[in-house]
Amino acid sequence: MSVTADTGDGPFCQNCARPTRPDDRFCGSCGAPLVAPPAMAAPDHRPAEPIEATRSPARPAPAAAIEFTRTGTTVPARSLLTNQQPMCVPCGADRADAATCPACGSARIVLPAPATSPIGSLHKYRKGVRKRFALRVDADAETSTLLMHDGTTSVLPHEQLPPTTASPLPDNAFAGLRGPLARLVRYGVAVQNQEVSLPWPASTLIDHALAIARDDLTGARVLAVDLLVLNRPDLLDRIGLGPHEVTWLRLVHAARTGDVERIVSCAAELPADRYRQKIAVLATFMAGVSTVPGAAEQLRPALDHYATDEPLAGVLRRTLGIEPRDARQYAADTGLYAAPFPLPAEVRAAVVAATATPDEIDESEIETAVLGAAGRLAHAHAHPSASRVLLPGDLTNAPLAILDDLADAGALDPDLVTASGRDDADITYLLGRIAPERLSDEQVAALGHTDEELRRAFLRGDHTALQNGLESATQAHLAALTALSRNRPQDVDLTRVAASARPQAERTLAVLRAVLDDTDPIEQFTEPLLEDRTVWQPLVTMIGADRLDPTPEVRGRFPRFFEWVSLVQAREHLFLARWEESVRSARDCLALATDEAIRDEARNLEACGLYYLGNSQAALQVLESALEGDGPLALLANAGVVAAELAPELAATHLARVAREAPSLAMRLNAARRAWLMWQSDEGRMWQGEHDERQLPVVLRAPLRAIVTEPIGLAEFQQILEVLAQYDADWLASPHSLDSSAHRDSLAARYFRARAADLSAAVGVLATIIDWHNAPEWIVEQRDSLVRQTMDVLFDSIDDPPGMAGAIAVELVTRVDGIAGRDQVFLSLLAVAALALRLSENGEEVTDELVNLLMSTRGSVAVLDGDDGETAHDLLELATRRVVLNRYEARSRDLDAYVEPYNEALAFLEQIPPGTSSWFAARHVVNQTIDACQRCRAQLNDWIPLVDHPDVLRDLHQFIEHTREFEFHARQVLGQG
Amino acid sequence: MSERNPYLLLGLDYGARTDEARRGFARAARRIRRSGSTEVTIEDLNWALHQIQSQESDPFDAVDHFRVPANPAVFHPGGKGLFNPAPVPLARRAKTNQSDVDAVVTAAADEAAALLEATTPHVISFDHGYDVTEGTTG
Repeated sequence: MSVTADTGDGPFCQNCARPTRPDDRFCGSCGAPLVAPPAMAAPDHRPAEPIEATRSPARPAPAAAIEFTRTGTTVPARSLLTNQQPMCVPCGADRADAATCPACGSARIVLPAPATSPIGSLHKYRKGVRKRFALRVDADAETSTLLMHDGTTSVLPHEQLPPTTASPLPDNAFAGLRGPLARLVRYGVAVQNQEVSLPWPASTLIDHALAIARDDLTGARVLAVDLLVLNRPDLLDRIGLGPHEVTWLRLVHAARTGDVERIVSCAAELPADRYRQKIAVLATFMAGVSTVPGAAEQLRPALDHYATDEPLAGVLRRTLGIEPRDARQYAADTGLYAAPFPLPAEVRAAVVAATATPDEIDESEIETAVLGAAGRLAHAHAHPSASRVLLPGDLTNAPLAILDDLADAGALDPDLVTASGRDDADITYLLGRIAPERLSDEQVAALGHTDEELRRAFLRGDHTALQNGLESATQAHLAALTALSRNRPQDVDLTRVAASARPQAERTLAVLRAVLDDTDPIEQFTEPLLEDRTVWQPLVTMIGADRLDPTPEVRGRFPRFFEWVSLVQAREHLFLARWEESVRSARDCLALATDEAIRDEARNLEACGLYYLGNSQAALQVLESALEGDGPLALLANAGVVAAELAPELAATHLARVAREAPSLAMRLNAARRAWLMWQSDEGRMWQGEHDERQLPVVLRAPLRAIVTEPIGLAEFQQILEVLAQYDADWLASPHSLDSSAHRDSLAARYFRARAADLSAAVGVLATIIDWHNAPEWIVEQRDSLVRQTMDVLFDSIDDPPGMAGAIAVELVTRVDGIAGRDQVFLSLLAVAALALRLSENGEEVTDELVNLLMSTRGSVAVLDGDDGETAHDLLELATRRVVLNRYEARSRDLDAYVEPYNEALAFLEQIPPGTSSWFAARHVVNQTIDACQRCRAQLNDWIPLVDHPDVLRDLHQFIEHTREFEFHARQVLGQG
Repeated sequence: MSERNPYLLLGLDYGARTDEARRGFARAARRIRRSGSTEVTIEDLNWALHQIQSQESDPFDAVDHFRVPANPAVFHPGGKGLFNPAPVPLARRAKTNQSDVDAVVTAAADEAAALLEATTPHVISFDHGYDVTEGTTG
């Protein structure tokens, strides 16, 4: 069973600390049954596993605090008191260990141990035809008194008692009860609450018990203790106890149930100078007691009485306002109050952290897990070295002066300030207090932080702003440094330089004077001077990089400075295009440098010099040695630049690495673009695939595949697809290659995926474009390129054209709009010529569509003039010739097919009598042969005017003549000659 | 030279902006005059300035020029010192009054009191005050 508690944030489950509603019977989070809050039931002290407080709340965490209590045990209330003597319960006097009370003379009261007793046993006896209940209400050595069902009593010897019967109450109904009379009260309560049905009214049962108790004071006190357990303090004044004793017991009951109003009333009712333990009870519920109206007046006499020897009484007086107190006293009282309680360590630590003064605690042992924002702030304010406990929200409502205190103590973190909920003005001010460098120039100006404004002016070399700045120590200090850095020793007033910086300034001034006096400035160098790296650049500026040429001994004395000087010298040489000198200086630096960053840069400068000297191979080797470490990305980019001067494949490999590892998509894209251009090295040829199976190298393929699906522009997307379609076609044509690209449904995606699959599909995509005037330029170029390359292939292989080329040409001219007229003519004629040749080789006849294409193109040839006209004319002749030859061969094949049946028919006609069915069949064959001859002649005659080639024309005439002769003979056979 | 590099010609860190390029032009002109360099001419500097001024894309996204320096930080030795003075914290402007401290202390004590209020009833037992004989008797 769990307990609900309410600490002001609403009730919550003690089992899981989650909020509950007041009328919940079970916790909605953990399912634990809930009982009334402390006002209704005693606190649950069961041990349980501790919870781990891992977060730091803005408000204190009472629920977590209660959880911590479950790991501990309870102590009696009197242990909170300074005087923990036993108390005389009847009169409330301190009794010490005396056998009798020194005030009232009462003997020390010792309640007997719980004893087994027959009282309270239920019996059943027969009355008439029915069995009736009887309850044993008293017993002595020989007899028992039974309360009969009708309310009468009957005294019977034990041996004559009717048989017992099981109690209708649960087995544990009497648990915790010390005496037998409490059982009768328990039955009475059960009847009253309708837990059971018994023949007696509740009052009968309770009255019997109380009447018996009144006869025996010890028995009465045993029953009194049990009445507290049974939650019936209302019955206490009916068992013969004195009024103060009854009030005390009611106070105990009120404390057990957390009823603060009754605690106050009972405590006030007790004699002011007696019952010391009431102070402990009141203290335990101090917060609740302070909310009871009139509590101060009611309790004042008692608290006044005990204030001198019970500290908690003093705390109660101040808490109730009987005695005024300030904030410090409040904190002290809180600590004083907490001291005697056996608090869980976490809670005690939190209380101590929130209330103790610095000299009272060892801050290293402070636990702040259950502290709230105010507690953490107070703790950090009192103990600045413990400011790590602060969270951003803790600063939000803190007085600004308190944060100033933290800033002065170095206990305010700028990140904490920035993340706090304070307004911009406060954050700006606090950052100005602890980290001015984090402020913008505007914020510094708004803040009026003139020292920081001057410092910034100095750092950016704004001498005017510095000169015009308000006169101050900072201004004077920076003015002196400015004079130093501007080589104006006469303006350097060392007395105005801050004392801490004066030795460095003095030594720097000595260097400057040596330069101006034309003596060796290096002699002025000292270790302390050059340990300050901020003087390096000013020294180089004063002396000149080219004049810093120390002896090996001096170089060895200041290696860090001179390795850096070598680096600067190498760069200066590069600026003057003095490549050899830059390489030499970079190598000087490498001879000294141990720091990897310096060495990488030295290698970079050396490689740069070598590159511009034309020695790219050596430059690349130097860069590669730098790239072995964790060098900057620029080295990689430079490797790509240098490699470009070498073999394209090698350049592509280096650039592909940039394309994989570059920090920005744009750089990766640029690297990839350059890499494929390097690798491609010459213009891609659409048809080279038939002879050149070149595929993208893996190092280039992977970044291109990755980049093409990233959020790049459509133009870049199209460019990469063009490469992939040519060199990584299988991947691009695969079903899901572009699924994650935002451009997956674009024209570029459709076209290049189709092109990766096959050219016919690509033509299909081109055929979907209707408005070529508004089509993207790239797709127009793709169309024209395909047309051009198709024509080139057909021209180049006019006598042995690739199988697909003619078909693609036909598709282009018949399906794709916008092709230039000249190209249409050439493509058409080339297509007809190619396909006619291929068909003839395969013994197939050209289609009528192809013939129609030829015929429709003939008229356009005349439009072309010049070389195009001549070429077109030649192509027309070739295409026509190839079609005529194809048709001639086709008709020849037709006629050949009739020769054998014709000869067989002739043989039949010579042998069989006329008029038979076989005779007619043979004549039909001869007729068919005549028709075939006529068809061949009719078809080929149409072509004769179109053929220019004399040999073809001759063959054509001969074939036509042959068909005439054939027909003549056939007609003679039929008697038509 | 394999390829002219506008940043090197103007003596600028790779990727320098247009305004830096203008200043770099003046410095570079002085540099070549002072050094008597014949390798670099004013025409080269004009070309370089034009290149940088007409550049549209971020040079750090490009891979066509050699980058000098690869790591600019090494040319700017860090740390605080004579010529890079540490910032001076702003002097405080708010005076701490007792009421400020009291507000913090009171709020903290309130939190502690809330913790105690939730805790104390759970660690104390309330005896009736009688002595008792432990155990049970027949």
